[in-house]
Amino acid sequence: MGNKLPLAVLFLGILGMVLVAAVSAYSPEPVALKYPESWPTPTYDFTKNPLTKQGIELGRRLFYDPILSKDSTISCSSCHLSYTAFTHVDHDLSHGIADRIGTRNSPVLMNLAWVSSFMWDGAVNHLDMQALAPISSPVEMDETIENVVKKVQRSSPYPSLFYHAFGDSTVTGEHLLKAMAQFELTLVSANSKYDQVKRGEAAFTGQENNGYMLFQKNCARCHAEPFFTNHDFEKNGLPLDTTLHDFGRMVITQLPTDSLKFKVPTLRNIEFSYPYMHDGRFRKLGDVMKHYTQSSQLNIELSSNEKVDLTAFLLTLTDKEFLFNPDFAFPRN
Amino acid sequence: MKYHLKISMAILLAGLFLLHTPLFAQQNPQEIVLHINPILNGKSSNDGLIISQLNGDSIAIHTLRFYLSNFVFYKNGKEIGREKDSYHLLDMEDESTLSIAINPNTGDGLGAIRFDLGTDSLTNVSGAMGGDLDPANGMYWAWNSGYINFKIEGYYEKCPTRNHQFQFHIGGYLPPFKTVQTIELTGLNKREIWVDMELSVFFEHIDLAKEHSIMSPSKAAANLAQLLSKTFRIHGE
Repeated sequence: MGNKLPLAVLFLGILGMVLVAAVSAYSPEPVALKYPESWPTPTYDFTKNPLTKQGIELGRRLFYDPILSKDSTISCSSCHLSYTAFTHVDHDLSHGIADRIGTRNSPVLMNLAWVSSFMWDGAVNHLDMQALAPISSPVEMDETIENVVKKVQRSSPYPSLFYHAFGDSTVTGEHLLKAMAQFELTLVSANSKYDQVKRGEAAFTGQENNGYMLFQKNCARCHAEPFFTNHDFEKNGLPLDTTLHDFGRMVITQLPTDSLKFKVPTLRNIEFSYPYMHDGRFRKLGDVMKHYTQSSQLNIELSSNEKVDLTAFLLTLTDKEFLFNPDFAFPRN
Repeated sequence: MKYHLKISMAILLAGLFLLHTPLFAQQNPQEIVLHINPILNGKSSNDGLIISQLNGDSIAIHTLRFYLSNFVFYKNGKEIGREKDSYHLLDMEDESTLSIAINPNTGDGLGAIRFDLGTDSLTNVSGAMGGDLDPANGMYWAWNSGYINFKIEGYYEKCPTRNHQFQFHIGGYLPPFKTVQTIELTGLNKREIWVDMELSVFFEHIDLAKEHSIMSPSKAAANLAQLLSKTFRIHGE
């Protein structure tokens, strides 16, 4: 009788440990990317990085964590704010650590599962690898991925979050980058008025409809539907800014024909993504229209009324569900 | 009760210890080990550092890191197998990385091996990978995507740079500046293959006083990659 009580306690203890182990076991919950049926299949290879609830949550936490920067002051969201289409609107050129100013305007982040080259010049060839560029840039985060991995490993609760996302509490560059890519892949914008019109759920006004026709005639070759970009590099007639000497794509390919070519940005949520162009030189949509109609290289003619109509159409690309989606904002829990 | 627990623990610990002794750590009979020995004018590295002479001036190599990948095995002139997940990051500072165990499943050896010096273009566009290909290994370019296939850094008296440093980070996967090189070793008949990597072949063809810093894909990088591929030879040949 005297031996039975300790044995029972031992049994309960072991049972408790087994239950705790079962509850905290690695069991990632698969997530399917939601996007309109009419859209093409994503170019991102999800077989190499399947979306999971745990992976997305980890990526979101990393996206908003200044631990990625050398002095823990700059996070991805410093330049990519959810409420402004994941770009910033307060400067022409983005600024990073210690108020250092870069040479380009931060791009918007959305519908990235259909993008296969990144940055204004296409320097980065895969979404997974994109975060390496701002992490190591001396004017952005001024860190190294090697050091970020070490810092994240030491920072609770990251080891546990990595375990639940990837089955391994050891932080690696691969898993860190894949988690961030998972969060970024979920940033799908597909519920603007334009999308609703396409689905037959809303109707354009006469002015918006006229703007849509003008858009199709003058802009759609580069800003192709449904992403409002052809994902290519184009020369749009902008003169070289002699304070920056940024020749764009040519720096990567070293081909003279790529001089002054830059990535075509999406027009989705353009109402919130000012200033415009790779160097943020235009603060207003009116300035952009003025450039396109005055450039001798483009041959675009628009009357004052047509510019107003085109602007009305561009405003239908605003997707407030995307801009104010709580799943994309700073993780408060 | 306590006595039996102690005995069990002792047996368990003894078993674990024995598993790690050479007596029980049997080498896989199918396994072939490739030893890469970086040398300059016949001099090996000491603690990750090679010190020698080049054209009568002192030269030191303190960093030598590179990828070998895509191992293919041949016997009697025919391909008999390929290594799975074939990526190896070799680092002169870490001797254990300079010996690569390969398992071609050939029974009694093989005649030739072909492998890449560097990483192929598919690897360079496949996103984040782990192990030797983890970007946190310091062999990946952030601002112009792609692996650094080969790093060689050191000091040479005639380098007109700060502290007489030279730095070659050789990479690039897009034509016309592709840097991956294919190397073939033939006449293999032993289970241990000793390969010298004679770096004088590289340094004798470049003028370090003029060409001392390359850190992006370019024609010069592609040319240096070709030179590096010529440094490999079976020891004693």
